[in-house]
Amino acid sequence: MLPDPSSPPATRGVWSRFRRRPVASISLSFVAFICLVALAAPLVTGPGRFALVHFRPDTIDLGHRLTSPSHEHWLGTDDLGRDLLSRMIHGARVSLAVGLAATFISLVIGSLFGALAGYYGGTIDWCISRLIELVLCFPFLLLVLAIVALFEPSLWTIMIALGLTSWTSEARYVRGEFLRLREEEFAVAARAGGAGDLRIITRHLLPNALAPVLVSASFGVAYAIIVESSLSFLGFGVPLPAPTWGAMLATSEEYLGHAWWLALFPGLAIFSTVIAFNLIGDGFRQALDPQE
Amino acid sequence: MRGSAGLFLLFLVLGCGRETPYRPASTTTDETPQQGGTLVRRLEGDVTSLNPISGNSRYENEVTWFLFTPLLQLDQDLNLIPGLAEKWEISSDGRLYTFHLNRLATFEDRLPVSASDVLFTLHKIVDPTSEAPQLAGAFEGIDWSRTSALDDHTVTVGFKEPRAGQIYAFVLAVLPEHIYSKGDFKTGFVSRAVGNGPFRLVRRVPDKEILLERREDYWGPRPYLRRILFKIVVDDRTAWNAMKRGELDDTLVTSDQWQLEGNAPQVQRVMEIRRFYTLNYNCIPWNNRDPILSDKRVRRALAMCLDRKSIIANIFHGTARVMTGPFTPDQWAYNPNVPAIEYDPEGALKLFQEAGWGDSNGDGILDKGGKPLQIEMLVAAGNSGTIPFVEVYQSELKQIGVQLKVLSVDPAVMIQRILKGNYQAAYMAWDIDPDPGGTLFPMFHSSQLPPAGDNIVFYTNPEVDQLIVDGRQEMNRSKRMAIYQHLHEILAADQPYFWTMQVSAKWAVNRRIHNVRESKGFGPYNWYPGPLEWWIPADQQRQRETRPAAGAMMR
Repeated sequence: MLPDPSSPPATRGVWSRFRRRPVASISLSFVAFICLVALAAPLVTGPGRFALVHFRPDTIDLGHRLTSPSHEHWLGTDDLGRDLLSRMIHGARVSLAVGLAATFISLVIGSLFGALAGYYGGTIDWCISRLIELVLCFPFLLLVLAIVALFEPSLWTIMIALGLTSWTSEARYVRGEFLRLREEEFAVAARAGGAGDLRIITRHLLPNALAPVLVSASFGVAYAIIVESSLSFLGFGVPLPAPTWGAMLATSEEYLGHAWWLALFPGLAIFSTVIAFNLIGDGFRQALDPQE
Repeated sequence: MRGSAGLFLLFLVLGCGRETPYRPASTTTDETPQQGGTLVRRLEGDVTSLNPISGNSRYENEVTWFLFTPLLQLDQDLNLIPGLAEKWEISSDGRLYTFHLNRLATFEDRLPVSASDVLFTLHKIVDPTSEAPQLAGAFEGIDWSRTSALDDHTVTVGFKEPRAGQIYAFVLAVLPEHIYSKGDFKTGFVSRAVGNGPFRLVRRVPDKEILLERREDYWGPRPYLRRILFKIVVDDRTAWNAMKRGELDDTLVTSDQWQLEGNAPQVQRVMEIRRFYTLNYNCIPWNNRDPILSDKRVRRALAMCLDRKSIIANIFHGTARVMTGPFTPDQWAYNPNVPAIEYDPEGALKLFQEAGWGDSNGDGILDKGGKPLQIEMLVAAGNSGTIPFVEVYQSELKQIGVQLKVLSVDPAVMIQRILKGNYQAAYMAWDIDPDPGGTLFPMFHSSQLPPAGDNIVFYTNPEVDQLIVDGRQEMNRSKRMAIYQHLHEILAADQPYFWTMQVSAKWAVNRRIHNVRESKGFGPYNWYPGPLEWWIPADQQRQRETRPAAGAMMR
């Protein structure tokens, strides 16, 4: 049987197989919920009509420092008397924005290099493979720190720094897929039909190679969120006063014995979001696996 | 430091003017000092060099003053007392200083400390290749033609002009010429030291620890402690936990640690926490050359936007005080009649409007000529202690309509940018001299704009220049006081800096250490012979800390 080039075989039925996994579905719903909260952050916090939390994330109240969770402050207050829940809702925006944008950048760069290396092979492949190895040589966090330190720290710098350093795994996946796909009958057929390289790469090979790359991308989002949190924790993250989960966790360290809520809730937020993205990736990987 | 104020990035703030009366560290009835034991001290950062001439941070001094007994020493109240020099004279014209060295004084290789060693050290300080700018400033006026060794144990140092407070520059380590003249002066003595102090270096493991051992042949009064181990612990939290476990004998603690945990019985059992003010304060230098900040009305209005009383009450739990100018309330130069700038957001807004700033486009941010009132403030990265203050100020300014952009940069980059004038504002701390004149000249005289000096705010005022020079040459204390109090008024009115507050040091000391007294100069001048009087009861001495750390290298 000849595969139908317009409907890639690898991804057929993936969605229904993914949905049949409860853990993956729950994770996906959770991420969707977090995304919704992040998008609606200015609406649900502050003095507005739809507000669920009646505190702005940056309203300082030194008289109410480090108050424990209560009816008024559901998750307590931080070291400057700011409402923790309000800050966490706004922090979700930063974490998700960094995670998704960084992964998108790495996906674009990784696919481009991977496609070129896998399709053309030879010298181009050799050069790109060495480049990947070169980037992998440097400890990832140090490389990101160096880039952030070199330019002014901002949300954009961090997104770009993460994107520029984490494209290697995507590139290797795409390259591997391309090495296999370019010998497939539909690729050979397309070439015989007179299609140019660009058309073969973009229309025939890339859609088929993308599915496994998306798996790696969802792990990538999780990793980017962790790295952003680490950077904020180290003090090299998004500049003040933007609330980020990592920076909140850094503050909590000082008060670990006295204000458990400062460590618990941001930590839980990072943990559950990262786990959810990982489980989604896992769900996709299993759904794509023909053995299952 | 000496003669030139030390530029330090804000971390913890250290020592002057005790708040609590002196109490012995222990309640034990037997107070007969006992020999032996190892004192484990916290060092907040590693030393860059053990060479006392080229060291440039407070951490170096904390270690090297045990290895080198200075020519003169400061006691607990910052009075000068004999060190290597058993007596000294100043000529009536105030230009000639004569020191009589203690004839018993020897280096650890048993060779005597001689007048030629003092001259060698002075030459090394002034030599630009030694890179000792912190010390060199105090000796820039040296008159070599009148500087000589009268005999092996007497040395005279001449100066081109008299200067009040010059004598403090002689709280100075003396290097053995026969050792330090050989090899590379800058790089050869980074992890090696041959001193004349009560302790000698056993080993230095970079970023880990420095171990000193008592010199049994020390020429002065012998200390009780047998060893001193400096453990390098950068993180405050880690140090506090180690302190609670009894693994460190002393550390500074943060205001919140002090307030939240200081009174807990399990903490009180292990340590005593002392609180006192030091020669150090926090401030925000404004770049007076900046188009926005060159207007002193703007600088004053910016200061009026911060509710310092609330910050002191809530963040520092009442353990800090408002500053009004470049002197701390404990200095004799302090003018008590200079009022503190009060928190007054409405008044600040009026002042901004007077200076031409208004919200013409209704975006909530003040503007003038189409430009928003935006100020970028440098903060040392990785320094979590400064963040609460900065965030409060940022939020207060935002309500008035001033955008404060906080930029965390690497401490070294921060210093470079400040010295180049490539900044608008910064949040930092100054460690200052025991003599007020030593700090004023490099910080405010118009000849001291960087790179010449530490006038990092680029402040120029001919009247201030004259008063600074007058104050430096006036030998009469009450006349000097009048000059400095006048200077205090002018500087407070001009606001080249926003002198924010002075935070008291909270110094935790393990109760096993006896006879501990803190010094007013606990900051950069933390050396006074006090630690030599500390002792540990025999049943509480531990030996295990002196084992080499994993991977330790003997040097």
